[in-house]
Amino acid sequence: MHLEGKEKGGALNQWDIGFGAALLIFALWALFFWFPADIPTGFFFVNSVGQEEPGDAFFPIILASLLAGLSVIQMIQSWRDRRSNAEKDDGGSINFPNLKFLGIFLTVVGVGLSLMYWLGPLTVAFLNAAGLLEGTYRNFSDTVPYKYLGYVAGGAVMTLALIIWAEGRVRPVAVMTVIAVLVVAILLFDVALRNVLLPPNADF
Amino acid sequence: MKRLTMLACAAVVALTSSPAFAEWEPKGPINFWIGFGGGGGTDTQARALAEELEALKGWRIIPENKAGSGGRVMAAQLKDAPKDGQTIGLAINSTFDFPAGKNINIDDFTFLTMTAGSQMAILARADSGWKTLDDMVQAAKSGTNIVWANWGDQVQAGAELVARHYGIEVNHLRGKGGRSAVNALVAKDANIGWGGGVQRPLVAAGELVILSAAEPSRLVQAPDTPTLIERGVMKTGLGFQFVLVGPKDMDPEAAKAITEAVHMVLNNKDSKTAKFVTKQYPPGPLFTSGDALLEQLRANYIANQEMIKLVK
Amino acid sequence: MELVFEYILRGVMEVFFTADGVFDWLPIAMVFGGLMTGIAIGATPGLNGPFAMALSLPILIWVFGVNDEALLPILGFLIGIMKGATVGGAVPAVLFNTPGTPDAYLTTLDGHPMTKKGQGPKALKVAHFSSVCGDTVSDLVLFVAAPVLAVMIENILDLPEKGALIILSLSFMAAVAGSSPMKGFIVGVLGMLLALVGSTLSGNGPRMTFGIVELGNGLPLTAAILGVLIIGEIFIGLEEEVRKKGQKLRSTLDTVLGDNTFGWSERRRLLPRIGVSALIGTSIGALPGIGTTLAATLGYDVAKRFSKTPEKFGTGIPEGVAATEAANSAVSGANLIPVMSLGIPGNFAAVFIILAVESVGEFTLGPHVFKFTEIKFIEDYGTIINHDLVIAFAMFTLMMLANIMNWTVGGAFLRSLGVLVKVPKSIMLPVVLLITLTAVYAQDGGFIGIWVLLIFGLIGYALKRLDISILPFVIGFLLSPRLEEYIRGGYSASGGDGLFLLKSPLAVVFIAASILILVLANRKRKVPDEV
Repeated sequence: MHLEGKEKGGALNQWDIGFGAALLIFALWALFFWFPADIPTGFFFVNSVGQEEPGDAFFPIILASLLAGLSVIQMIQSWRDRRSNAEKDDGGSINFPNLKFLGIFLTVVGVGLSLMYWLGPLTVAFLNAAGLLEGTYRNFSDTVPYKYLGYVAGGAVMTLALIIWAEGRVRPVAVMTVIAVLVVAILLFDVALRNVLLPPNADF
Repeated sequence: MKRLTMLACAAVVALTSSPAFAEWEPKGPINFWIGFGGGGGTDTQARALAEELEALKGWRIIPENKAGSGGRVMAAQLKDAPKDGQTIGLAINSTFDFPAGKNINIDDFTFLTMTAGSQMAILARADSGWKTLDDMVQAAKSGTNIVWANWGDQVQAGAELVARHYGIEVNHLRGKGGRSAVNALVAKDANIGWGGGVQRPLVAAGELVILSAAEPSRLVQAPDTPTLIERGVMKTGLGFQFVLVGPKDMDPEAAKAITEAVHMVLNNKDSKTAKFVTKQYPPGPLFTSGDALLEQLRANYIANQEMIKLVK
Repeated sequence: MELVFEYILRGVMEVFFTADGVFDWLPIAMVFGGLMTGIAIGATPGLNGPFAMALSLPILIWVFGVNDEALLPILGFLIGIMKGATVGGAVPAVLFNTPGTPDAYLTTLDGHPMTKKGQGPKALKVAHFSSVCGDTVSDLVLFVAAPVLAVMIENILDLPEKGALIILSLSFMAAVAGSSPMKGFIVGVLGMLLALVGSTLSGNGPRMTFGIVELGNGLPLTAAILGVLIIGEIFIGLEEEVRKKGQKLRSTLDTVLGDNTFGWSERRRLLPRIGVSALIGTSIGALPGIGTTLAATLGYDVAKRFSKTPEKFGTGIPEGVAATEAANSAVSGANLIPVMSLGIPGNFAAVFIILAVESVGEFTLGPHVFKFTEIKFIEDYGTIINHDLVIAFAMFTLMMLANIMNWTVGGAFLRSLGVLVKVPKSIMLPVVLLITLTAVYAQDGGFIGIWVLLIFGLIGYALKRLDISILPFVIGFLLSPRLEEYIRGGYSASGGDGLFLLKSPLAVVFIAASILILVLANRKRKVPDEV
């Protein structure tokens, strides 16, 4: 979500008005760009028995218009609150440390997920090039150990990195827990439940 | 080198027509996509089929539900899947032959085989005293309120078409799943209902009567009752058939091997799949496959287009 | 009347016997497992019932599948968790003065002083006793109120009124949950809008999918809801852990034990107090969106105000613990009244019951459930019956079963749980993240589920940080497809009248009430500043 607001008046709650502004922009974008391009029938359409009925854009347009209207009210309200100099500390906010946390967090998760997705296929491709294996990852997505490579590596890296970050140190108990969880997940989802796929094996 | 051997094998197979020779084998697991949600008739059938194909052939088959828009969500993903025969899907004919939306085109797929089909009928309770569609029309014209149970847009449109043809008014009652319409009928929530095949024992028990059929040909249980096509109400049936499909230009060896294996399962009367299909979609398994199936779907498509033009 | 009993009986049988008439231990075992899990989860600070329900749902679905037979075992487990967590929440509050949930804060007021006096085990006994009492009362009200309300509603309400009712409950939830009703309502509408991505009622191909074919059937429901509820919570929790770098919980459990007997005479003495609190909790629970915190606060206040010795509250007396625990536990049963009778969930636990019901089998919740169809058996076809109603009564049976287990073994289990509080959040949260990712991947068969999970997690994080209630967003997301159906259906049925919503007096009342609620709630918020 985009949550930006430019601070002007001293008592203006930028998050209050910014929230309204962001959603107003979203609603207008939806109404004028998103829906026209991405909804096959209009506000009304003629159905297969020749009757006119509300189209697929009917409810989205109503909701987006409502959203736009409410956002405007929200903005006016927070503007009025500023003038009455009230509610200085009302509501929450997202500050720089929050964004920094999110940045690092999503990077860790991103690295973990990339490993999860790519490690298996890359290993198979490498073994192919070395002449040790023949066929794409698609053909080995149900073969041990290839089918566990990405999940175990990505899952372990992601979880351990987060734990170490949160605790500020490496504890054996954390490592053991992560290993245990991965083993249980594999036993449950892959061994016990035959028709369930671990990431990333359903994508190949 | 490998391809050459395979071609040679294929030639041998074609010449001797003995599939036991160089049977196609998948190189990895087969992803079997189901075009409908879990728990329904398609899902039950597909999972039984997957299990029995696996037992029969030793292939690893992983069924997965990809529900939405009458199978079209699955089809939209299937058309871009690899063509190695390791991704196939089960949906129904109208997923492909009913013109709706731009993203599904018959030519984007390889059609393997039908597995089963509906016995689409207009039903009434026996105690209504109606024996034919005309009796119902008569009653409606003399003031009886007709509540017509259905489970989807296509059949509701069909009901509307019937009503218009005879110049009567009907109220539609929408239920969830094929059984709901028959249940509503018996529970007296409706006095007319569509039945896709589940009505068989109820008709046999004399609880329900078939007023008309909405299949291209007459129904197994009502050989003397004219179809809606015969009555001139519509040009194509409303019934559906389950079709097993793969992406366009799928490996022909794979298509052949899978089709044959499915037919073997369906032909075995004691198989779970055949039993389920016979119970749920009488009279039982259907085997139309390959080019014949494609031709039928193309013909349906044209007929459906005409029907839409007609009502609009 | 005979028909009613027939349905109730079939509902009970549905739980204990399979279709072939063989005794079925599975639902019972599942309720038991759920209850124990729930108590343990509730006793762990930072975890709560809905959280555990969210995590178990995908796992349960893999284990049991999505056929009709899977529904009762799955619901049994979820109901067990729901009830167990309500009871378990008292453990950290009483023993360690660390309320795991906001409502448990009031339990600490008298519970922890009792522990300091060496009466910790007794405080837990009181908490357990009152909690189970409150819960049972609440369930009994649910069993009567839900069918009656449903029958009334189904007879009176047509499509426009049902649509207006959804709008009314959404604005009510926005008004009562969270700091800003306006923002709450706005995110409710946003949730509704996002839920429209995917399939269309007209069958004209997918909409609002940005061309992503995997979204053709909509944003994956479980991924979206787990994202906004669980992942958002994990983001917040981890951020706090990172900030304080894993401080330890200090156990203040006294080794010197005082008198810990909790006899029948004392139980009887507490009963009136428990009764009052249970009624308060039940009434509050029946309204959508109002949580256990208000119930606990009211229960405690009322008990204090009408006590002959109000000065003793807060010094560690059983009355204080009983008044809070009975009130907050009585919320859980009554909270299912809107969901069972209208299909409108009023809290997060109900959201997961709805999710389970929507993913498994053909059962759906809503007023149509309580339709007493004639039962008829037909050879070779089966029985014509409103199976939804049987399932509803089976659900009630599962709830009573959970209560009975809670009465008998729940207490002992509860008192053995002091250890659990020591699981550090810094390990638990990343592990839960991994399990949720895996769960969502398996359920949606691809990375699309994980992306949706993370994006909705960000939405949940932003809402939390901006102090906006998540409940309206989730409920809006859940109910939007149904509202669209009602609005379109109502519009078509009115013959294309653009003002069809205003043609039904009742719908007008509902709409007017929702606007009024929003306006009033907005004004009320400002009063302190203007005075």
